[in-house]
This record gives sequence, C-alpha cells and structure tokens, in this order.
Amino acid sequence: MWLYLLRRIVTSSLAVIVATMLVFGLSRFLADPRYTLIGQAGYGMSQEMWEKLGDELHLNDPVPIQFGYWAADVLRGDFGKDLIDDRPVLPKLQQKIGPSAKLGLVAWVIATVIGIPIGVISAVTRGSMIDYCCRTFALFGQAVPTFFAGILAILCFTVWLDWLPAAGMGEGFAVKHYIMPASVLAWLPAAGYLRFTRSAMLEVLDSEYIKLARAKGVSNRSVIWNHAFRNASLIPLTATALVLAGFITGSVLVEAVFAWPGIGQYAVQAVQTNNINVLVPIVLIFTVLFIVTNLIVDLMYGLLDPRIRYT
Amino acid sequence: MSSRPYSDTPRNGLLRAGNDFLEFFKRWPVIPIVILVFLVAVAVFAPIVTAHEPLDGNLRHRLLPPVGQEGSMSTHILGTDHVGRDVFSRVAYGSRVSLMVAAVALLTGTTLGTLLGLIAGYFGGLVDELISRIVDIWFAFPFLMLALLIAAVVGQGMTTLMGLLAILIWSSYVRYVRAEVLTLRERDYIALARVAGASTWRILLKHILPGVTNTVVVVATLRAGQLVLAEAALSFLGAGLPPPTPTLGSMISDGRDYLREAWWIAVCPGVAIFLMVMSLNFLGDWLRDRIDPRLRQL
Repeated sequence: MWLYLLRRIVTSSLAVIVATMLVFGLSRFLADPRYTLIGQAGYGMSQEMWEKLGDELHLNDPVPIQFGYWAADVLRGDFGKDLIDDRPVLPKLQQKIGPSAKLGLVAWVIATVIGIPIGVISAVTRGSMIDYCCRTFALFGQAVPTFFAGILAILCFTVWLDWLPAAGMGEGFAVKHYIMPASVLAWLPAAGYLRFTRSAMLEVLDSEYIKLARAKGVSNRSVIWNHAFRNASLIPLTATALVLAGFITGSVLVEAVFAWPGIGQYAVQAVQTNNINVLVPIVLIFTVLFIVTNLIVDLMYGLLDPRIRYT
Repeated sequence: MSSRPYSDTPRNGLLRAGNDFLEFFKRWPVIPIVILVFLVAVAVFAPIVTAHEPLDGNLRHRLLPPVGQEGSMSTHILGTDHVGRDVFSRVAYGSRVSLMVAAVALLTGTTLGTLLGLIAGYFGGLVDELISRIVDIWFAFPFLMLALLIAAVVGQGMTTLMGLLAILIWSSYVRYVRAEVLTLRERDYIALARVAGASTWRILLKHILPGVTNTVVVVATLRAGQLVLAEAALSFLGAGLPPPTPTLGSMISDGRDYLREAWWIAVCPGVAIFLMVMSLNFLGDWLRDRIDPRLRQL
C-alpha cells in the first residue's frame, strides 16, 4: 500500500514536471517569444531593444538554463505582466479563481446529486419508460455541445421567459445567476456519472449475493441502496478522472457563454488577444489541478474499498 | 432465468412494441445514416445547393427570419444574420469546413496512433515503456488548455487546427492497438513469417495491421463525433479558424449577441452540430457492438 502510494505520488510529480516543461516549450519555441510577448508595441522596435529583450528573456542561454530562469519565476508566482494593460498577472488570477471555483463546485454537486441517483434508478427500472428517459438525458448530454446548450438556455429562460439573468455572477451568492451556468456545466458530467453508475449497478444487481439478499426477504429498497449501491458506488468514483477532463473544458466554455468573471473567460479573452503571459499560468493551474485530482481519486479508491490491495 | 427481476424486456405491451421498433433501429442505424448522408451531401455540394455566397452580406436584408415566419424571404430558407448573410449557406459551408477538418485530423491522428501502438506492442521493452509513459502523461493533460495555448502562440489557421485535433485523438489508439498487438505477436503465423524471412516492417504492416483494423475502425468512428465537437468548441472560443471563414462554432458565437432579435443565427448551426455528433456517436456505438463488443468501456 505504502509502496503504491509512493509510486503514484512520484509518477504524478513527474507528470507535473513534464507538463511544466511542455508548457514552457510550447510558449517559447513554437514562435519567437519576442513576437508573442511584445504584441502591438513591438512594431518598429530598434535592433538594440530587440537584443536587450532577448537578454532579459535569457534567449541566448542554453535551453535548460532558460527553463531554470522561467521555472524560478513561476515558483515565485511571477508570471509576468498582462500584455494588454501591463499589470502583473498574478493578482488578477487570484481575483478570478474564486468565481470559477464556486461555479465548478456548485456544478459538481449538481452533477453528482443528479447523475448517480438517476443512474441507480435507471438500472433498477431497466427497460421501462423511466429508464429510456434517463438514457436519453445522458445521450443528449454527450451530443449537445456545452456552449450550444448554454445558448439554448439563455434563449429559453432569458429571452423568452425572462426568468433568469444571462450574464455575470451578481452580488454575493445570487442563486439566480448560478442556476443556468451551473446546470449547463453539470449536464455532461451528470451524463457521464449516470452511464457509469447504471452499468455498475446492472452488473452488481445480477450477482449472487443480491439474489441471496432477496431470498432472505430483504426489502427492495434495502437491497438496492444498502447491498447493491454500496458496491456499485466505486465505479463512478473511478470515472471521475474521465469526467473531470470534460468538466474543465466545459467550465471554460460555460464561462465564455455566460460572461462569468472567472479564469475560463479570462483564458478565452487571452486567446483572442494572443496574451501568452495570461495563458501560461492558467494552463499550468488547470493541468496541475487535473493531475492532483486524479491522484486523490486513485488514493481514495484504495481507502474506500479495502478489497483493493496495491501490489 | 425468468426470475431475474432486471430483464431487458419491457413490461407493458406498448413499450414492448416501442422496444421492437427501437430494436430494429438499434440493429440497423437507419436514421443516423440518413442524417449523416444528408449533412455530408449538403456540405460537399454546398456550392450547388446554396443560392448565396456564405460571405456575401446584404445589409438591406439583415436579420431576416427563417421561412414560415413573418417578414421572411423565400430565397433565405433559414434567414439571414446580422450583416445579411444567408444562414443556410453559412451552415452548409461551415459543415463543409468542420467535416473536412475533422476528416483530415481523424486520418492523421489514426495513422499516428496506430503506428505508435504497433511499434510499442511489437517491439516491447524500452520503446514500449517510453511510448506508454508518453501516452499516460498525454491523458493527464486537459486538451482544451493545450489547444488554447498553441492557438495563441502559433496563431489560428487550418493546419494548426488539424494538427491540434489530430493530437487530441492519437493517444487512445495507442492503448488499444498496443494491447491487441501484444496478443497477436505471440501467434504462430507471426513466428512463421519471421522464420520465412519476412522483414519487421513487412510483418507489422502485412501480418499484424490487418488484425487490428477492426479496433482501429471502431475507435475512429467513436472519436469522430468528439472531433466535430472539439472543432466547434475551438472555433466558438475564437481559437479555431480565423474569420471570415464560416465555421459552425463561430456562427454560434456571433449569434449569441443577437439572441433577442434573431435566435436562428445561433440555433441553426447548433442543431447542425448536434445532429452530426449524435449520428456519429450512434454509428460508432453500433459499429462497436457489431464488430468488437469487447471495446464496451470506450
């Protein structure tokens, strides 16, 4: 167990390091950083300034040393300046993490609360109208592009019905502002959870010990929730890694659609203005978040299911 | 096993009739194929089936609604957008771009992934270890973030987009192909080929590749829908093809600002994407169940 833990932590750290190197490489070598970093102001720059900038970025040093300088800056939290207004990026990011985290958390709760129970119900009522409805819900969730779902929601609830606001997050915890973005963001992960829970439940419900429980005369509800679901509930947990990838993509799209003042929207604006200094830390944050969550899920899996022995 | 409480057969008659109906369509994916053929035909023959150029705007005819609504014009079946461009033409040309980008990316990613999978599985050892670890790390990357970064550094364009989408999918082939090759390479006919003096590449391409084709085809169909979605998402975010190229994603993004006056600008391309992805997914599921049910977990 401890050996596995150690190995898992080592490979995850390795993934983080490789990820940083990749991000560094992509932002430096696909194009001369002097072009991407100076933006508009760079036109008509003199040769001396051009070389001075090269020195500042350590462009004449060997690549590993360049990476060293860059990594040191990153570790200190120095991501450079926003190329649009020349202000440091870090405080802006700190300001935008909050809204993104709140939206993500609400959506995650919705996805879990909807996806997993519906998956159970869908498995238990297999072949009935309810089951078909649940599966259609999942099918659509995986085929409707997140941003289009958002647009349809705005069209329906803002333009036609005029119930909910279409943009921004309002003051304090304005529930009305959360309803649409969080539900739209939750749809895809809910569909994922639903499918995984359903197939896990179907497998468990077919096993011998469930038959025994039924033969003993255990009530239907108890069979489903205490006997079957307990064992099936681990599968959606392992699916979290898969669901999470879609969730990160989704949160960027949802923030763009609903003008949510979070990191995702900031990233999208940065792409449209080729604002590398903003993009690099955001990509790093999301990548590290992704890797760490995967690690946590893996370790939790061992804690929750004592049958699993890591060898 | 009639005692099994959770059987596949629906309980009441109407549902059973509905189920038989569904079973038929599950066996033969008629609807997805019809929809897909229709969409592809419209995309391929876009210059013939559309009456307007996708980029020609006519400001006197801006924001016209689709046919059947008040104030519509019969020449603009799906209405016009905020600068008077024909929405139907733009959807047709946009689908054309989407499908072309997705097809090229699919082909590139499939070739790359299959080749690496073949190499990793056949040679094993250090090569396998290296390729497998790269794939592991690749899976740990949130794709969209990477795509946004590359789009911002290199700038938007057709080649960039195709490359990005190709690297989105290559890794999944490596895993499945590799697993398949691991069992294939132990077969007697491979040993025989080796004894007969066949070169390594000949063995890989002539003897092993045919054995993994099924898997590759199934994975490719399942990934096609994902590619269309990813392309749309990137163009929606402004990291896809630069304007004025009509793309479905950028049309939705334009339409967002005109939802109040003209819902059709955003809804028409959205429905096109939805139909495309839905039918591709159905087709992929069907192929998987037909050819290779072992790939269920995909």
